[in-house]
Amino acid sequence: MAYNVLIVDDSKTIRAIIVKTLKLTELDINDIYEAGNGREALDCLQDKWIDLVLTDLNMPVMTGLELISSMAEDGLLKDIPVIVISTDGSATRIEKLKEKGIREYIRKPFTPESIGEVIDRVLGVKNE
Amino acid sequence: MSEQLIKDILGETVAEVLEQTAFVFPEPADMTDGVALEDYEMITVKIVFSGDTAGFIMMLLPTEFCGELAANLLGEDVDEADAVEAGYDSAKEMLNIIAGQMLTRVYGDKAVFNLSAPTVEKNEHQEVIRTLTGDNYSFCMVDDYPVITIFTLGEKVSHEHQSIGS
Repeated sequence: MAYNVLIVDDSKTIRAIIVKTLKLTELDINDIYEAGNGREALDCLQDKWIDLVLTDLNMPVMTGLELISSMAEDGLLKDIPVIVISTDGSATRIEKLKEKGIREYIRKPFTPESIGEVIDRVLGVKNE
Repeated sequence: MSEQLIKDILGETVAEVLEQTAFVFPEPADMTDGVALEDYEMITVKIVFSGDTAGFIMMLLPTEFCGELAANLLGEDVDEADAVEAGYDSAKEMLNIIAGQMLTRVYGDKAVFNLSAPTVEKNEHQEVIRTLTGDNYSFCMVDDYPVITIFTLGEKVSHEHQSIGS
């Protein structure tokens, strides 16, 4: 099964780096969509079938945390797994994010292997 | 933690992040080595942090090196039209990662910080360099490019009104 992934980050360059990294993993990915903030991500989630959201936290217009909260309140979106990719290393903050419903947290810097392992775990499949 | 130890951690953190993310290999250097910083067009990237402790982290690096960072991060040459934006974004991302790593290494993973969005200023480096003290910065050379990273602490501030950041 191939998955559709949504990448949410306000930096076009960082989104490009994450796209590039995903393509280096062995994950079976169908389409990759991009959004520059939480608002754009919600618009994309209304229009497209998305299996996984990878999001930054600190973004203009709508932050990653606001996106996570909005998804949790929406019956159609609440079950889509969210992985936060951030530089923050605070265990306290990561715990709070997990309480808000995120499935995993990837700390930068990351490698294709570390992203692949986490996504495999979240999606519950081992890709061939 | 002594200022010298913080300076050592800063140097190690900068080197590790540049090596792991941009595949470049910094060499520790000294400001007295005779590097003519005025010969370079440089940018200053800055992130302000607050939380358990307040302060800022700043990186001074040549504009030309930003282009190399972008190409290395993306694994390909950057289109000319996007080169400046990609270079600045890459420098901001580098500093973001360095800031996150640095704060955890110095204050541990129980501490909570809020980081501002990184800002970029062009050609302010001479003024910044004049304010450097002995223990608050790291200086390294990446190939022929000088890179200066400054970590400055302020006062401890309240946890109240914090939002999740970075």
